[in-house]
Order: sequence, then C-alpha cells, then structure tokens
Amino acid sequence: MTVAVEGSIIRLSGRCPAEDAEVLLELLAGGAGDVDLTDCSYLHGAVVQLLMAMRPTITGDPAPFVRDWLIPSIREQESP
Amino acid sequence: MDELFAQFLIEGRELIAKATEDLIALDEDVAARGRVDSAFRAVHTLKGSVAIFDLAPMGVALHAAEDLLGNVRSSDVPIDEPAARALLGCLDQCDRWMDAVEASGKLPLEAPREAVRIATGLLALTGSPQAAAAASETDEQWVKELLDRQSARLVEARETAAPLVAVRYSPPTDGFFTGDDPMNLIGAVPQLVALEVGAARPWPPIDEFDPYQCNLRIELISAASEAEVRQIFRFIPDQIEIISVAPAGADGDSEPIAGLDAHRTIRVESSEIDRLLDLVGELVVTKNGLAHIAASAEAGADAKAIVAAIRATQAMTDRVVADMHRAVMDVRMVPLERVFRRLHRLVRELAQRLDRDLAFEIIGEGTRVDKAVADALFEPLLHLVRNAVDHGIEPPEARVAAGKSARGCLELSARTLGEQILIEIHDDGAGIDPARVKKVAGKRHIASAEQLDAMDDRATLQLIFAPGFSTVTTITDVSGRGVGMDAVKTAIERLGGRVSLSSAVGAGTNVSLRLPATAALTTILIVKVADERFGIPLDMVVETVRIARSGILPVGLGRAFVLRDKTLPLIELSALLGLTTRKPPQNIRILVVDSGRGQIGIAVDDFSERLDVMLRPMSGLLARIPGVSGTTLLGDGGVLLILNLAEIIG
Repeated sequence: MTVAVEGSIIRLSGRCPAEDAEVLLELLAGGAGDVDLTDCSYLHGAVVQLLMAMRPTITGDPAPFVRDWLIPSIREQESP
Repeated sequence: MDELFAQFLIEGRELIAKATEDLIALDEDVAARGRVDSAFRAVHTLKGSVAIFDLAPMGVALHAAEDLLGNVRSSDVPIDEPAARALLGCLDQCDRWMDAVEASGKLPLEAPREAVRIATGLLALTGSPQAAAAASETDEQWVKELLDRQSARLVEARETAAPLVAVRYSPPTDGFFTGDDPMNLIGAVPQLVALEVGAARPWPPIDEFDPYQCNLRIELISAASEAEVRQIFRFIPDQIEIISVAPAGADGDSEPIAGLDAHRTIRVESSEIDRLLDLVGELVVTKNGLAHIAASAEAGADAKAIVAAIRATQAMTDRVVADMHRAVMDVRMVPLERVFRRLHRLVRELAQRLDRDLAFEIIGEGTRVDKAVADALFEPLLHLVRNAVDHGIEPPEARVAAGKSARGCLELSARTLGEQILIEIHDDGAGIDPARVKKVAGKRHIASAEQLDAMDDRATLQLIFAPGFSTVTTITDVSGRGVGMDAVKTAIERLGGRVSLSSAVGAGTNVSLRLPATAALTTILIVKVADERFGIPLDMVVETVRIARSGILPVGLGRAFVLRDKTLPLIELSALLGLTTRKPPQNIRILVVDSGRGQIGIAVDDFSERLDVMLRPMSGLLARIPGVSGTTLLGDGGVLLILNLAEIIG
C-alpha cells in the first residue's frame, strides 16, 4: 500500500500509481491535512494532477525527481 | 568590416526605404500601379542581396513579401490595406534586422521565428497553399514565453552556448486510461533544465474532480540534443511539439536603439570625386610653378620679378585650396532623407503602440546638410517626434471629442534658408498649456514666482527647455528616458543651431530647429585657468600629465619639467593670456602640446571634459583678436573661447 494515513497526515511512499489518485481524492475531500512525501520515489501523473488541484501542504524530502521537479511544479499552481 | 557587407548595409537600407516609400504612397493612392512595380523590384533586389550573406530568416520574410507583391502586380485588384500593412511590417522588421546585423554582425536570436511569423502572415494574404503549412509553425509564441519565464534557470545553460530543446506536451484527456503516464516520460528526459506542469483547463471544483481525467499541460526545456528528446516522445508525436532553440546570443533587450554610434559610411557621386581629382591636378600645376620660381631665383633673376611670380602662385594656390575645401564640404553634404526615413518607421511603431492614429508627413527630405550634422540630428529629432506622438497627438477618441479629425497629423519638414537649414516638427495635437508649464516650473524651482508672473505665454513655453523640466508626471517607456527637452536643446546648440517652440492649446505644437548647413565638428578639451574656461582643439594636445610641484625646475628665466627622460619647457597658460592666477597647487596639471617646433608643456589649473563642438569663427571686430580661433556654445548657454595655441605660443 502506497497510501497511509497517520492522524491528519497522508503518507505516500514508494512508486505511487494512478489508482492512488482516487484514494487520495477521497482522503483530501474528507478533510485530511498534509501530505508527506518523504518515502515517495515517484508520482503518477494522475496523482501530480490531483495534488495540483487540491493544493494540500506537502512535506518531506523525497527522491530527487519528485523533490526537484514535481514538487516545485505543484507548489507553483495558483490558488483556485 | 568586409567591403561587400558594408555596401550591402547601405544599399539594403536604401532598398527598404524605397519599398517603404512606395507602399506609403500606395496607402494614399491605391491606383498608383507604378509604385507596386517599384516596390516589387526593390524587394526582389534586396532578397537577392540577402541571399549572399548568412541571413536566411530575412530571405524567408522577403521571399514571402515578394510573392505577395508579385500577386498584387499581376492582378487587377489594387492592394488592400491589410496587405500594405503586412508588407510594411515586414520591411520594418528587415530594417530592424539591418540595425542588428550592423551592430552585432548577426541576426537576433528570435529572427527565425519572427521571419516565419511574417512569412505566414504574408502567405495567408497571398492565398497560397503554403500558408496553411507555415501556419502550423506560428504557435511558437509559447517557446518564447517559456524561455522568458525560465530565463533565470537558463543563464547557466546559455553560457555553455549549447542549443536547447523546448518541448510542449499535451497529453489527451483519456491519457491515463490508455496507460500513459506523462511523469514517466518527463522523468526520462535527459538534461532537464526547466519543467512547468500546469492545468490544460482550469481545475474543476473538488466535488466534480475526476482523478482519471488527464488535465495536464507540460512544458520543459532540455539541454540534450533534439534527437535524444524526440526519441523519448517517439510514440506520441501527435501530443508533442519539439522546438530547437538556437544557442544564446544577445537577447532582444540589448537591441541598440538604432545603431547610432555604429560605423557610418558616406556615399559619394563619382562626379564629385572627378571634381576633386581635377583640383588635385591644378594643385600639381601650381606646385610645379614653385619649382620654376626656385630655378629662376637660383639663376639670379630680379627679386621683384620673383616676388611677383610668388604672389601669382600664392593667389592660384589660394583659389585651388578654397575650391578644394568647398568640394570636400560638398562631399560631406548628405540629404536628410536617411535620418528622416528612419524616423518614419519609429513613428509608425510608436503610433501603433500608443494607439494613436496619425499621418506622418515628411517634406524636404532632399535638403542637404553636413554629414556630421545629419548624424547628430537623429537623436534630438527622435526625441521631438516621440514627444509629439506621446504627449502631443491625442488618442483618437479624445480628438473626436475635441472636434478634430480622429487622425492626427505630424509633419516634419526641412528647407534651406541661405547658409542655414530650418527643420520644423509640427503636430496638430493638444498643445502645451502655459499655465501648467508655469505650475511645474514653480514646483521644480526653475524660476521664481515673480519671474513666472512676469512671463508671457511665449516666454513661459521656453521654460520647457530648462534643465530638469519635464511636464510628464508618469514616466513612460516612450518619452520618459530621463532626457528632456534640455537635452535636445543642448544637442542642437552643440551643432551651432537654435531651437524654438510655439504652441497653442488644442491646436498643436511647433518646434523649429535652425542649423548651419555646413559645418565640421571639432573635438576640444576644456581647461580651467584662473576660474575661466577655455577650449583647446584636441588635435593640438599630445597628452595630459600631472606633475608634483617639486618636479618643476627653473631653467634660466623660464621653467621646465622632465617627461620620460625629455626636458620640456613649461609655460603657464594664465601668463600667456595675461590672467592672474592663484597659488599653484601641489600637483600641476600640464597639457603637452606639439607646437610644430617640438613639444612644450602648458600649465593649467584643471582639465575638464571633452566635447565635439561646432566651431564658429570670430566675425566682425572680434575676428582680429589674436590667439582665438572661434567660439562655441556650451550646454549651459555659456560661450566658450577656443584658443589657437599655435598663435599664442608663437
């Protein structure tokens, strides 16, 4: 399982596939808070897109590609 | 610069100007078929010249322009406005490229894209089937924007001068179902320099969000080769745009305003060269006459006869030298055309940018002035014309509201008045309100309240030329560059001319410049002596040095100093001019001049700036003052005496 919930924090770990987007959407829509990507090595486009649209607070220091390219892109999205 | 290339720069500009002139004439009279032919020929010739040099984008644009003109030429339908506009736009761009090529030797970075855009526009008007093909390449605006946004990241990559590849990737909405993962592909791109992932359409509200519908648009820049990047996206060619970006050069903003300081050449009619050659022939004859006189003196001829012969030869030499001077001055005379034509383009661009509708009329562009004057006129004229478009001519709605025609009129005229030329810039815009000028002048302490009260409207308007005056409260990028009308005034006075201004509120403004038509610029060095300033022609000055007072040695009645193992006599300029000087400073400033009989040092109190000035010879009673070769006006309105050092030292 790549999605885990600890209190108000959603933890994504390993290579997150497209299916994670659906789970994540439910969690975020249900009011869960921050998303911790510390152990995340890869995010599928669907997950990236969801994070962009929902803009939860992202924490953690994940694998280089996610850290250097995907997270900055997600953070650059303008607030809806 | 390569001679052929220098020739191309001159002729290319002329051809552009010719075609531009034809198109403007067509704008006024669509039936002037001869103008279409003429423009076609000019563009055709230019295209041919461009092909010789490494200027392919310009060739592409001109080729399309030629096609369009060819179509117009062979059809019975007169040229329509969009076509004329597109052609003028193409020529303007070519003119800008000529400036860039002259300044940097190559076309700007974005030239290829710009050329495709122009060519597409022109081909669309031609109705050619190629238009559609070219059109697909026009959406490259995104590349430019992407590069702009990411410019900070690109600095390093650009320094290595490696080509970059820009990619725009638009995955289809159902992309996630078909198993595509955009992130996977991006992660595989080698040497990623910049990445932007965003929404293709605005994000929907959370309750309507479908996590399986792809709504991504991705743009990225890579420093890898285009082939490598294409390899990654090879299965989805329909979702991808890949554009190679040429390695760095100067970007757009370093474009020189018009290559003002660039090397300028002068074209001379061959008949004028022949005339000079004839005069050289005459000079040789007089020179031979001298040999004859010398021989007869040696043979013991009568002194009176020799004197008479010398006098005759001198008179002849005088005449030839005077003729020669005139001929050379004539060669230096150029029509104002080139200066004026460059303004044409700038006015058009400006009007477009500021949303003004105006007719720019030029009269008397054939008026000839000294080349130095013509070159120095461009900038002040540009400033005046900018002012007229920016602050003079109102936007169309305001004009209509004021009961004027929507189209403003800006007129630039030149004519010769004896030895002077008169250049006038007239607009029918809003005019300048003296009351407002007074208010600003008071606020900026340009004149006291009493002085202002005493001024009539005409005198008030002249305050605009005062340093530090500018009626614009907001600085626009058009006119507000920190130089005001005072800069114009200084520039014109430096050329030995005068500026005057008249204006009527609601009716427009008229600025006239009176300039000497013939003149040559002299570079002078300003020196200070006993609180006075004097100009010394720089060609007299070998160098300037500072020497400690202890380094000055008394020699007999005079003084001397040692400069690089040579002892040079030292004279005080104040003593030469009969001025009382203060106590000499610790370091003495010395001009080393070549008097023709060896170098000597002339002590002055201080050196000031160098200036290019128009030397005005002394006239009337003043003409007999020894040691002064002329005067010039300084920017602050003061008169500067230019010393003739050779005469003073003599």
